[in-house]
Amino acid sequence: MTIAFGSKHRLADLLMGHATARLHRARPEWADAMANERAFLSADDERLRWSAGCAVASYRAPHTFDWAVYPAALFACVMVVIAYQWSADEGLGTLTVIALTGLLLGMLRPERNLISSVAIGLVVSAVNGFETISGIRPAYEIRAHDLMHDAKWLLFIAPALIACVIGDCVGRKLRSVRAA
Amino acid sequence: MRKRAPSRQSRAILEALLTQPLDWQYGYELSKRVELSSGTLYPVLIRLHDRGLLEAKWVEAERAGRPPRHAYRLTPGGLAFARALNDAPVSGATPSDEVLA
Repeated sequence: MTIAFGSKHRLADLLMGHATARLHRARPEWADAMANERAFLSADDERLRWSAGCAVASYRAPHTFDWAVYPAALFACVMVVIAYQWSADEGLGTLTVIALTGLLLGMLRPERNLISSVAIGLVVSAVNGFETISGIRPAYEIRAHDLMHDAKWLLFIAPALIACVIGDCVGRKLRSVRAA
Repeated sequence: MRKRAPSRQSRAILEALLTQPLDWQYGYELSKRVELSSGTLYPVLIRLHDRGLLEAKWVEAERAGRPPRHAYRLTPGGLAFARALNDAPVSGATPSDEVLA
């Protein structure tokens, strides 16, 4: 009997620990709310059920997943822009790729519009700068640029920021429709 | 864009909060009243709070040695939304976003 009691207690602690650890970075107040509420439950079974529910809630709560997803998405988007920039000269296609990745990142993580736009907006200048400095360049680049020429593509940060802000607005709208 | 109707769980929570609009309610008692697990209750509460429909505060426990509790009640916007939702049929029109402003 004591073992069963102890196991349930430990399992409840484990589940609640997992729930609060997951929620704490994005939703500290709510993590504490769930954990504190458990102190007011009398039965051990009830505490276990509550803790299991909180572990589920930590996955279902809005804006908790993107702590892990955002860095991966940002990296993927930067890689897509690098790949496109390496395969084609800068132009409307580059702008489209930057706009689409900016929209995606803005929707995914509204609080990081500036970081997202600088990251993807810098890529064209960075790739061109690499080509200039290293001398390694794709076949379509028939002449070398100078670094001042490369720096002008920092202008791509502006459309990237606009795309992120639009994505942010679209994301907020979608979330507000989904919320209730 | 098509508006999604509030889920059955959201409706149940809003209705429960609407019955005692001035009282602060705790998570556990609320979950018992609406017969929802904490895994369903808290994501809905968080969404309602994010939309400004729900206010939350910490209440010191009456008995020493116990932690403070998080308590909830509807905001004026939340009350208007819940009343509009109550007046609307389940499968019919939902309250417009203007109610939430």
